[in-house]
Amino acid sequence: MKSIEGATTTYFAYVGGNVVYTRSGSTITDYVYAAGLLILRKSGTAVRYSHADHLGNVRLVTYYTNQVKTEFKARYKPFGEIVVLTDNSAVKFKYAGEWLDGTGLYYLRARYYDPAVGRFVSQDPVLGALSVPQTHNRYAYVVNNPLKYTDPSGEFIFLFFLAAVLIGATLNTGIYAATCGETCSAAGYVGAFLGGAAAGAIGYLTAGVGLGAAMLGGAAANMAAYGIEGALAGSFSTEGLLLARALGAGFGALGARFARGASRAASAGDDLADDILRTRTRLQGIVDDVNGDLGSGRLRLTAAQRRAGPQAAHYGQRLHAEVAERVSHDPFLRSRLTYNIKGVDFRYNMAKNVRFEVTTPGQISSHTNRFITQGISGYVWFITYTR
Amino acid sequence: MASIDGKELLECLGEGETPEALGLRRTPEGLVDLRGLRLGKARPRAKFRVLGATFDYVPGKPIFEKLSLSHVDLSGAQIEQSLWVACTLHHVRFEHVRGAGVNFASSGMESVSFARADLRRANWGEDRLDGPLVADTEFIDCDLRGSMYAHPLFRNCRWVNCNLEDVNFGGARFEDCTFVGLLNDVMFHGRYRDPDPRIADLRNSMRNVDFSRALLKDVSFDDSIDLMTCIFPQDGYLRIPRPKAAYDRAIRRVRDTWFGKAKDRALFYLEETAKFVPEDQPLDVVRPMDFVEGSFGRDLGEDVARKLIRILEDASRE
Repeated sequence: MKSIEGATTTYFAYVGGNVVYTRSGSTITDYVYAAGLLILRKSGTAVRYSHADHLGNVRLVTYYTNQVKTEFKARYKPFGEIVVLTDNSAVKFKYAGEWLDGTGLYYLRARYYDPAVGRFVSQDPVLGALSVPQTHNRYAYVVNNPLKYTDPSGEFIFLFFLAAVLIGATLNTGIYAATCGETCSAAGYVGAFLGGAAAGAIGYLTAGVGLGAAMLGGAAANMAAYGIEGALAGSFSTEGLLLARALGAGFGALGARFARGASRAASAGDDLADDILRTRTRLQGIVDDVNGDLGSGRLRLTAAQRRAGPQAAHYGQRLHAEVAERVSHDPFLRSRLTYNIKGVDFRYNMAKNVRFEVTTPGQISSHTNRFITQGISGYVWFITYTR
Repeated sequence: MASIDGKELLECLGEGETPEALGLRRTPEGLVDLRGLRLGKARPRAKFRVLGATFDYVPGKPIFEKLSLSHVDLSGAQIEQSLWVACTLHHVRFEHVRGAGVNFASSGMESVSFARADLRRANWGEDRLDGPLVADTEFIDCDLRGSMYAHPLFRNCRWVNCNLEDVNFGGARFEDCTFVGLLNDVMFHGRYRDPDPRIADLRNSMRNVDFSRALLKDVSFDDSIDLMTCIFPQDGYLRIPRPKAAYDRAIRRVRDTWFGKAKDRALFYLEETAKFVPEDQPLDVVRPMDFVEGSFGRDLGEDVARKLIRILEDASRE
């Protein structure tokens, strides 16, 4: 596979969904993975190490020459908009560990994804299920739940559908093999497989209409498959047709149940992820307020801090306290957030390496503000999400 | 008491069930015996890191709403991180309670007793709310470090030998209250910011607040606070009438006659203090030894600290 950007042609070799080799001109790069995540990139003798979060977003790329150095550093918004802190054009794998094209789109095999709008640029090749309304937006990325899911194939919801189809097909074929006796035939196997698959698919896709519709559709599909198979193999019987009807109805019901289960799981994940997003947004608002107070000189220092002088350490302590206080007073956040004193990282309270060009107190404050502003924006987006 | 029943038991009692129906006994003092009650702990589902601090996302923390508890002994109970919304607590004892991070939000209290309680990062009040009223309540030997206050009204309450280090009383209002023991790096405000301007304009009257048996170390009184009816210790404190004008005079004096690092430090202190002391604040009270004993005196020497004290004394007399 190759891509052409301007005068540069890049050739790719894949193993499964992972790029393991690229050649661009005379530059050959090998990629090494562990547990599905890219861990290093090697071009000639140069080795670069990738560090990803739980969703595979590449946040840091490092290398070693006498000491550990940073080649690339970035943060990501939930739908993949990137905030690059240290850039390097050689780093291509970014959001969800995917290849970022020169077009600004991510290549996700079946489709391209645009992080700026959080949507695919083309429709999902698979129709959505009635029971999972989010899937009817065929441009949506991971049913709008990027904190929980990634979509390495560009066909995320297809996996649920595929499972329902395969269950029906496999079971129907198995039952056919166990019951056909002397009448077994290739056409019979094909018919059983297709009938079961169709029953599962119809059950899955019509689950939103109702269980009856799913069973009826499944029965009709399997009976039709049995009828075709019987006509081809000359082994049609009323008992066989009735069995096909019963099995088809069962697979239809199974498909519907599978779709509802998937829907419930996705909804539960959606609710939690949505709540986390709302919480984060609210927390960000508070941090912005506190930061605004600091910037405009409205942040009160304690008397001891005023006497101790204008050091970043004291602003850091006050910012902690202010954010914690406002979270405690906020009816939305207070029921969700707990200030974890054990988790406090005191780097900001010991910022001895920060140099100020001290001439007047006013200037001292402005330098302090900038430093702390960067500290906040750098960390507020860091979320560890556990299931 | 089994931990699994703690929350449900408290809810049943608070919603009107009789203690007898719940199989609860009474202490020798006649209080409903809920000593040692334990509330289940919810599991954090995510973490947010802000400026190096961590906030756990705990969607299932224990929440109590509109409970009415009267004559209950919750001594030794574990109520950490629990949230109490619009509850009323009357004659409730919280001795040796483990209540780090407890949030009493809009819950009113009357004749409640906290003794030797862990109340670090505990909270009273909420945004956009006038209140709640906390009356006739005492805090004895409690750890209140990092406790937070929106706009509760404390009336006839006592803080005795509590650890109040670095406490910002925020929008808390005090009437006929008493503080005994050390108050270290504590902030009191006359009014306090709030998203609702009507709430932000609520005044802390500080009527008859008694600090006479307290040691006020690095305590600040800002934002138009009225200390005229407060009682301070007889000695060791500098009273600064019309503090805005006094600080402005001190700033001019330092700016004109000081130089170098001492000038920067002194100006920073004076300007940061003056910034939150408006014209209408009638009085500020400062403990001069804070300059000598604290980092100011340590870094710049006792002579410089005493020089700044003299400037403040002169400015307060002019």
